[in-house]
Amino acid sequence: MWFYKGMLWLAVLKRYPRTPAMAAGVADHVWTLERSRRCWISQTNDQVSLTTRLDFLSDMPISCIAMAVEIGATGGFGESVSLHGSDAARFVNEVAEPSRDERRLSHLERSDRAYERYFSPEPISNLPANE
Amino acid sequence: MAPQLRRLALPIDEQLSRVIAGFNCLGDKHEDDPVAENVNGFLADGRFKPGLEHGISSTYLFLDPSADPILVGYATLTFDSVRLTNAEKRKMEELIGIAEFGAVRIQMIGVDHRHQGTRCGVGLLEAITGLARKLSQDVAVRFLLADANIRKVAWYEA
Repeated sequence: MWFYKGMLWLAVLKRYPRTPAMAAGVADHVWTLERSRRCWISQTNDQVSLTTRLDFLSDMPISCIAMAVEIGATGGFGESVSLHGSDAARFVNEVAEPSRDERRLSHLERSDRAYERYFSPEPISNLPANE
Repeated sequence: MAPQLRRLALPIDEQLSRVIAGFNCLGDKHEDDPVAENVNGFLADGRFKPGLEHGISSTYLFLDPSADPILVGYATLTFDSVRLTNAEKRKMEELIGIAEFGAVRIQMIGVDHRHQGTRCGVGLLEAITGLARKLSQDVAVRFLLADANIRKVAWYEA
């Protein structure tokens, strides 16, 4: 019985890897924009994409723009990200106690203004006229 | 006329289809960049259409009627989640039964190479972030996910 349970568990793992990078066994990292304009990336292979996670919400006081940088992700539809170790702990702290990082808040303000300036609720199927 | 961020709806007429097919975010700088090629082909080759047809993703065009080309960039959005690890679940005991946080995912985002370096892309990314924040007022969602091209990290940092 334990053998079949083990096989089932392996099948589940194979069917539902949390991310491609997890399936490949490479690491996740947190990338915090408020630290520096230069991001640090711990690259574990030659893959050319990474996954970012921006905590963007709302009027809550938010600490920083934290990005879960996942080296080796292939990108695309339907993937999810996760964190480990100290990165996970920091994520938990940010969820519980977001701070008021000035750079982040100004980014959010600019985003709201850009939305108001550019977004049009009417969908299009043809070119808009230059009026 | 100011630039517009507009959601695509099917069927797309011939004129707009030609504009979409002419989208090119590669230029000379990104010819050997597989991520940029994927972003380019997703729009120009019409790979965004199944998502629209099945109602699982939305593609937004960033159009500037006074510019040439008129199509400045695009973004495709869908919903996703941030899955919590067991350790995260234990630390967030008040969220009993919640294993994932909802998220808006930027599946694709790209700017035509003829508009790159003009900060149009920054405007597009900010408008998309603003749209996600707007959505979050109606259905609580706290994260915006994006697959970023590692060669374009500086753009995401800006």
